[in-house]
Amino acid sequence: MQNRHNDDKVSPNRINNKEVELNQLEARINNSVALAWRCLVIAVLNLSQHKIRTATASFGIIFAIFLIFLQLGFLQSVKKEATLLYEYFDFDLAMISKDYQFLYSPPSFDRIRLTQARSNPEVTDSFNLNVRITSWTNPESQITSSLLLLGLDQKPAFITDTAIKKGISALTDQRSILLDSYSHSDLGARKINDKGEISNHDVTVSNLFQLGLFFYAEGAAIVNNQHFNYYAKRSSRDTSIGFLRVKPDSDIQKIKSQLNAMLPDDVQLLTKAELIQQEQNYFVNTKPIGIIFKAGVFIALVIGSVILFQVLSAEINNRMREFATLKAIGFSDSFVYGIGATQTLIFTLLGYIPALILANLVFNLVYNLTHLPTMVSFYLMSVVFFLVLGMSLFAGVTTLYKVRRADPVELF
Amino acid sequence: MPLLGTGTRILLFHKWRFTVASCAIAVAVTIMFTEMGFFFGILDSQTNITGLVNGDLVVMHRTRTHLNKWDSLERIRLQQIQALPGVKEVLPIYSGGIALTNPKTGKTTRIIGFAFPPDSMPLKLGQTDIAIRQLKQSHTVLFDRESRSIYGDIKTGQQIELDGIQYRVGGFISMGPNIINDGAVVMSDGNWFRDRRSNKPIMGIIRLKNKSNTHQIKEKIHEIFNRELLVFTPDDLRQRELHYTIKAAPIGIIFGIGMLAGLVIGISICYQVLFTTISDNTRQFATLKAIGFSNFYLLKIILEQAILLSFFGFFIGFFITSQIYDIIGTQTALIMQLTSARSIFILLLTCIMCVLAGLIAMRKVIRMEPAELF
Repeated sequence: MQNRHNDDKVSPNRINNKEVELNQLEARINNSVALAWRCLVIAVLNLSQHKIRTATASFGIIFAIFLIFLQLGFLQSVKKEATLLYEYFDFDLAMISKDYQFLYSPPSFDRIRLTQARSNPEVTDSFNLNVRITSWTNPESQITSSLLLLGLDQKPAFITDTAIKKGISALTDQRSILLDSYSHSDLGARKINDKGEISNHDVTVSNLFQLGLFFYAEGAAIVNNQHFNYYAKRSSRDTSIGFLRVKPDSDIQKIKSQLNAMLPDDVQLLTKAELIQQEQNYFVNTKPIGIIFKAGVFIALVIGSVILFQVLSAEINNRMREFATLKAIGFSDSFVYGIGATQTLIFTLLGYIPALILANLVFNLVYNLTHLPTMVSFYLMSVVFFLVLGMSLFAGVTTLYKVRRADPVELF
Repeated sequence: MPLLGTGTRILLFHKWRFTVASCAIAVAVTIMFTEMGFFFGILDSQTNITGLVNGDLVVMHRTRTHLNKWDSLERIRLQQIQALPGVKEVLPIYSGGIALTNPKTGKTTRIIGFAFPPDSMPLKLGQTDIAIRQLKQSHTVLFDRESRSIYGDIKTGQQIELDGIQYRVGGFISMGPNIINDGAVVMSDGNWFRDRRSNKPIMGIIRLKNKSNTHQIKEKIHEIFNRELLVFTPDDLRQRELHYTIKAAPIGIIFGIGMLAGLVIGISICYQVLFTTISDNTRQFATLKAIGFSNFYLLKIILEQAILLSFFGFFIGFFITSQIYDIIGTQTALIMQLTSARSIFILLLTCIMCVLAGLIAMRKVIRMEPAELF
C-alpha cells in the first residue's frame, strides 16, 4: 500500500524505486525462507519431545493410509482383472453385439459383419475372438470345472502377449490347446502335455499362458478358431467379439462412426479404450464383487479421513497453549499456521511411507495366493499421496483456526 | 452413594471430548463390522441353498466339489436309495443355466433354473399355496423376487422367454443370488423335461421315515455308493461349501485378508483413542493419588472408563453398520446379516482392546510421582 503511494508521487525516481522494491522482495524471500526453516525446526522439536506419543499417533495414521491403499488397490486390480484379456490384444476398434454385457457371456453376431466392416478402405485387418463357458474334466480325478474357452485367429499381429503369440501358431491339430497355468488346481497339474476333456472331447495341452480370470471361471483355455465351434457347439457363422485394425494415423473416431452408420444395428463398434471402460463400469457397478470393492473404497476414504483428522487435530490441540503463547508474544498468524502445517506434513510422511511398504507386502501376498493383479502402481501411489496430503492439511488448518480466535489471556 | 461412578463423571466432564472419543471408537467398530460383513456376506450367499433344503440328507455326484458346479448324477441312483429301508422318499432337483429374454427390452440374460416335482417342494422357498398350484401348470414358472435388477421389473402374469420358449410368471419365491448367479426361476420337473433339458438331477433330497437314524442311513448310502456319490446332512454340506469358498476360491482369500486388516485397524484405533483419553486425565489421577487413593481405586476408575467408552462406541458403530449393511445388501443382493454372534464378537474385541489400552495407560499413572506434575 505504502509503496504504491510512493510510486504515484515520485515518478522520476522510478528506476531507483524498482531497485528498492527488488531489494525488499529479496529480503522478504530470505525472510520467508528463514521463517519456513524455523517452522520446520520447531515442528521437528515438537514431535521429538514426546517420542512415544508421536509413535502412537503415527501408528494410527499408518493404518488409516494403509486402509485407503488396500481398498483402492483392490478396486484398481479388480478393474484390471476384469479387462485383462483385452490387454493381451492389439486393436483399434472392437465390434460387439448390441446386447453385449461383459466378457463372461458375450452374445454372438454374424461374422459377415466383420467382412462388411473391411469394405471401409481405412480398415486394414480383422480378428475374431470367440468366448464360451464350457467345462473341463480332469481325467485323473474325474472332477469337472468351469472353463472359459477362447477361440483365436492365427494372426499373431493382433496378439501382444508373447506366450499366446508363440503358442497359437503351434495349435495345428484339433486336439491341442493352450491352457491357463493360473487355472484352479482342480483342473490338474496345468503342465505341457497334460490331458483333459473339454465338453467331453479329449485334448492335450501343447503350451501354457497366464491369465487367471477366476471371477469368470475356474480355468481358461485357448483353441484355434477353426476348432472352436467343435468344442462350443456353435454355428461357424457366429463370432463373439471382433477386433479391427485401421491404417496408421487415421482418425479412429471417424471410422467408428462411419462403420456404426454403415452396419446394421445388431452390432456396435467401440474403441479399445471405450470397450475397457465399459467393461470395467459393468463389473464395478453390476457384479456384486465389484460393488463390494467400490463400497470398500468409499468406507476406507470416510474412515481414513476421520482417523487422520482425529489424530492430527489431537496433536495440534496438545500444543494449543504453545501456539497461543507464540501468538501472544507477537508472531504472525502465518508463522503459527506454518508450524502446524509443517507438523501435519511430517506426520503424514511418517505415516505414508510405512503404509506404502505394508501395502506392498500385503499386495504381494494376495498376488501370490490368488494371481489377482494387485500392486502398488505409480498411479495408486500418487492418488493416495495427494488424497492423504489434502485430508491432513485440511485437518491441521481447521484445528489451528482455533488459535486465530483464541485470546491468549484466556488460556492461562 | 453417587449415581455415577467417578470414572464416568471424569469422562462426562468434557462432554464434547467424550462424544468425539466415542465416535472414534464407533469408526473402529464400523470398519471391523464392514470388512467382516463383506466376508460373511459372500460366504452366507454361497451357502444359502443349504439352508433351504427341506429334507434330512442331500446326495450329489462325487465330482461336484462345490455348489456352483454342474456335475449331475444318474436318476436311477435316487430310486436305488429310495429302496433302502428307512428312506421315505428321495426328490430330484434339476438345475442349469437358462437364457432369459426380457420381452420389454429384448435383452437376453443368463438365469439359473431349478426344477423338481412340485407336490413335495424339496426346497423351502417361502412360496404360498397359490404359487405351488401355479407351479403345477404348464408353461409357468415362479420367479425369485430377490434376483438382481438386471432382469427388469418382472410382474405376476407377465410373459418371459426362457431359451426361446414363452413362459408365464405364476408367482414369486425367495431364494437370493450369490456372487456367481444373478437370479433364479423355478419350474415343475414336467416343464423342465418338456423342453428337453438334462434329465440328470444335480442333487437329490432324501427324507427319512425316522430322523433318529439319519447317521446310520448316511453311512449305509456312503457304503454302497461311495465310488459315485457323496451324501451330506444340510449342515455338513454348508460346512464343506464354507471351507471351499474360504480356502480354495480366491474370493475368500481376498475378503479374508480384508477382514483381517479391518480387525487389526479397528483394534489399533480403539487402543489409540482410549490411550489418549486416559492420558488427558493424568493430572486428575495424580491428584487422586496424591490425596491418598490406592492404585486399585485408580484401576477401577480406568476400567470403568474403558468399558463405558467401548459400549458407547459400539452402539454408535452398530447403528452406522446397520445402515451400511442395508445399502450394500440392496445394491449387491447378497445376504448381509448382523447376527448376534458376530455382533458379540466385535463388542468383545472392542472391550478387550479398550481395557488393554486402559491398563497400559494405567502403568503410567502408577509410576507417576504426583509432585512432578505441579
